[in-house]
Amino acid sequence: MSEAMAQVLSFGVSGVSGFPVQVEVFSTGGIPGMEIIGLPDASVRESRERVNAAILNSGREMPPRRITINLAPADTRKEGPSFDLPIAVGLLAANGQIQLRQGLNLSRTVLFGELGLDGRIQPVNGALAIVISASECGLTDVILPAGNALEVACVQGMNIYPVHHLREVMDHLEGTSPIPPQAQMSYEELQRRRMPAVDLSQVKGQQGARRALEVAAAGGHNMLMIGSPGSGKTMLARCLPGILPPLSFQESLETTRIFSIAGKLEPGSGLMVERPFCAPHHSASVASLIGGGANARPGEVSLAHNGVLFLDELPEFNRAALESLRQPLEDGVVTVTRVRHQAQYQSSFMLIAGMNPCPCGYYGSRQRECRCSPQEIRRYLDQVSGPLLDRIDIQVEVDSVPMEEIRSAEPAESSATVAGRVAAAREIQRNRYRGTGIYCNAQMDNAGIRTWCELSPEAETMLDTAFRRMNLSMRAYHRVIKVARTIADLAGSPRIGMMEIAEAIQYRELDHKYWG
Amino acid sequence: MKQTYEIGRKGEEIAEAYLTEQKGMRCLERRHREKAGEIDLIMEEGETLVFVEVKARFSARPGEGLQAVNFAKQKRIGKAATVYLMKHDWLRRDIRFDVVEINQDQILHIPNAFQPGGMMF
Repeated sequence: MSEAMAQVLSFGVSGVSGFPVQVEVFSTGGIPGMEIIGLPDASVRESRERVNAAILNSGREMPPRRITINLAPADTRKEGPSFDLPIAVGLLAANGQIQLRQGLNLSRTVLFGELGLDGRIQPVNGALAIVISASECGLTDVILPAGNALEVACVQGMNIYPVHHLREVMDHLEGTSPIPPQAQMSYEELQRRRMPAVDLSQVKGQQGARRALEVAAAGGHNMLMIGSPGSGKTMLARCLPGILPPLSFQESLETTRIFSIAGKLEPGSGLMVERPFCAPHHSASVASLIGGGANARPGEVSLAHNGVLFLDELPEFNRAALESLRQPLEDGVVTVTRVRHQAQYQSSFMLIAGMNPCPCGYYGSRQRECRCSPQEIRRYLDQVSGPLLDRIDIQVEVDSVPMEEIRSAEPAESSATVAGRVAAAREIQRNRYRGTGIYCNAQMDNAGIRTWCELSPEAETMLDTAFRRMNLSMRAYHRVIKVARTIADLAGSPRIGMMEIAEAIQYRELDHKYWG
Repeated sequence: MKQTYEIGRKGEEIAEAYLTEQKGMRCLERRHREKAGEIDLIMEEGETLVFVEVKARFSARPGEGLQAVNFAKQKRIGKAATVYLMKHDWLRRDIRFDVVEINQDQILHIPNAFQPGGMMF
């Protein structure tokens, strides 16, 4: 045996999608050694040692041969340990250590996984992105780590072969004990396991804030809660994922894909059924919110895609970080550009913000006297810019609940009841926007407002008066109409009347009271 | 100085005898010297060309001689081997690098002990 060559198909990850990588292994006589080429990063180059040990620990030989491993296309950077498995299989084939079973086409089978020194196969990040991209390339067979199996179990029309050990892969490829493809799982099955973290019934009192939260959920509007410390802002926010409609299959694929790439998916978990709730600390930087780092990783806005981004203590956030939210809030997508990588991530999230009305926290509270000077309050509030506030449709005050109300035995409405009303309102919106590419009122553009938001004459007069009195921006004007549309949808009424407009305007009042 | 040389010399003799008699190898060269470095033994096992580095120690724990074949030494042997191979036009033959450690009366033979190849060779 003097010269031999093997080719194995694998996938790399860039942004949220995978790209095919041909792992070519060339084995020849000469001074023995192994070289990996094709722009591998450190973790790929280290794979040489893992592969070596894994092969020996799987009972096969590594003959002294001169070996060149090329990862094609050679002009794209390859990173991560997911090439361990295809490299190992390529080596075994090129060195004649395995006899592939008849009819097996390695160039149509996608292989990826990290190898342990003992030959065990470890899960990798981005498995869902790889499988979706493979399916888009018309490939159907994927051999992947068992730890990634559940994550991709819902992708249609694929033959997924989960493996635990390199030996299993060899037996499968040689045909001595083929692995059966795993059964496809329906998304509904996963959804049945869903359970909300915090239930609204645990929130006592707060009628105004509860209603605002319901409206926000029904129309996908952003919301700001202003209130003294301990008044329940965080708790209300945590209830939101539980009253939002369940993630649709498509939404779940999008969100899980981002989590998978960021390595934030719980090990052994399947597609996400719960909407994400991201609550970054207020020391967060622009890069951590928007995405960044050498490899243009997704940030919090993308991790919160199809879910909730909760920013507690809004004025404490870095000004630049807050301002960077304006673009994704508007477009629902961010493009992260770094020296080596450029990636586009979806970032359609609901922004829920919480803040104190002043540095001491008790301005306007029934509970305690505020001891801040007007200048201090001014400076504190000014940390939140006008343009950002402009994008927050619903603003409510949350005050501490009096003792009597907390004690009252009367149980508050549960998340399930509220979720029912929200789902009904969303259903109306889905039917209205069918075929337009938008799903909820908050995503409606100005043309949409003219088409779908018919105001009664009295409502129109009222809005005009308020517009002049409050000196609203054009954007705020449109946003008031959108919120009114949601309120009308919750009531099941096709036209927007005075009541709806009045409530929607009231959600804009705080803007005036505090920042006016 | 003289003594170290003698130990080395003796070790190589023992190693050659061991490899030919016990492992059925054929000796091509002893103490082959190139400008790039020296190779203790060049053997043939079937079709495979084997470059052998012999480490003789008469008071060490087993394995210590092996450790003496460090990265720099491997590179040096690799370079010398390359020159030798080029002279014979043998660059595409099956090649192996072994280490034989001799410690008093114990002989430790490690086939395929290191792989000096890479983009340099």
